[in-house]
Amino acid sequence: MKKPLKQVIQEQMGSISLDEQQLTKLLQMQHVQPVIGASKKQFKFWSMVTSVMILTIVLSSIFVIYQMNSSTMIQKIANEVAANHLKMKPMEVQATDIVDVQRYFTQLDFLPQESQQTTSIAPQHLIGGRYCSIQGETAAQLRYKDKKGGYVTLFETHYSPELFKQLPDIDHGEKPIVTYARGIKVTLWVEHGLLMVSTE
Amino acid sequence: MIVDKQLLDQLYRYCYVLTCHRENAYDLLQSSLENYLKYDNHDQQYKKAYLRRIIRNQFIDNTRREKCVEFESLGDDGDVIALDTRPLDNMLIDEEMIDLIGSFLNVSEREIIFLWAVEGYTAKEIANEIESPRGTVLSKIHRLRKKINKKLGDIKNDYSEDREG
Repeated sequence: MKKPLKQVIQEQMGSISLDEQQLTKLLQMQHVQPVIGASKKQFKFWSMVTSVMILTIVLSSIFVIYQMNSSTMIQKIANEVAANHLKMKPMEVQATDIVDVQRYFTQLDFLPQESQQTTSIAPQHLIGGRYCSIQGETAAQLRYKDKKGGYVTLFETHYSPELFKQLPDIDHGEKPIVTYARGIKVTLWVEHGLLMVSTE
Repeated sequence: MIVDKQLLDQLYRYCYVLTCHRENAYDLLQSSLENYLKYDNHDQQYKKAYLRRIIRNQFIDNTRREKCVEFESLGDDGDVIALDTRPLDNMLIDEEMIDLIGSFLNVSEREIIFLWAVEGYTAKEIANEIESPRGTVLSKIHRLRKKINKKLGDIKNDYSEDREG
């Protein structure tokens, strides 16, 4: 007797099934495998934790090293300018007008500027300037006399973040760094794209 | 339980259709299940389709490695194609001929027959499943019907000749 092909196939397929032993094996396999899955998950988790820890340590180290370099550089600058301030070498140009002083510094790749920082602290007047260097960079040294008869020296050079590290920029509202070297108060900041260091 | 008894049986039938051998079908199912369980993400929605894909790929790997099955070109049969699965739906056969039919169909033909008869797939669904164009599937359906009719006709003629002789 003829039957639809589909029906015959369905009936034939219906008779094909796993025997008990095969079925038990396949079901047991699934009980064992999740353990492997779980350990794999644990492995993934711990790998991730370890990676995060390593990354944190590396970033912290970089940050600490950067900070150390930065503070070391500040101290180096402070020591250098404090020594220069104490020497009180004679002025190469004597002028009370910044324009006259600027005219003298023809060898610089920047134009020395008066700083709002020094003028705002105490009334001073410019008495002259001379060439100098800060950490090997050619710099200008402007000397001021305050009302008490003391001297304030303002050192200026082109600001390079790679060389001088990150320093506060007062044009961006940041506060200058104040430190001491050889008993001299040293203030460092960035203004008009120039590194400025004052000693008093 | 990730894969239950019912699904295991269904997959076993699919393995049997591919291998035509009970032991080989079990081995294929076991190795495919192992592969499936290696991955953590067991999507319940597409579990059956995903498992069947693994089985299919595993079977192709095995047969290529052992070079025990020649894969036929999926070329069209001239311009003649079926419009849908109706050529198969309308087919009537003697019940006892089913094993014989299984013996002369190749793997891809058996797979199409299985997906159509057991899974109840349309031509489009079969095409998606075996990643072939729908036209190719329809062409194969047309050829399947022709092949089955011809083989069964030949057998009938041989049988009549034997009786007359």
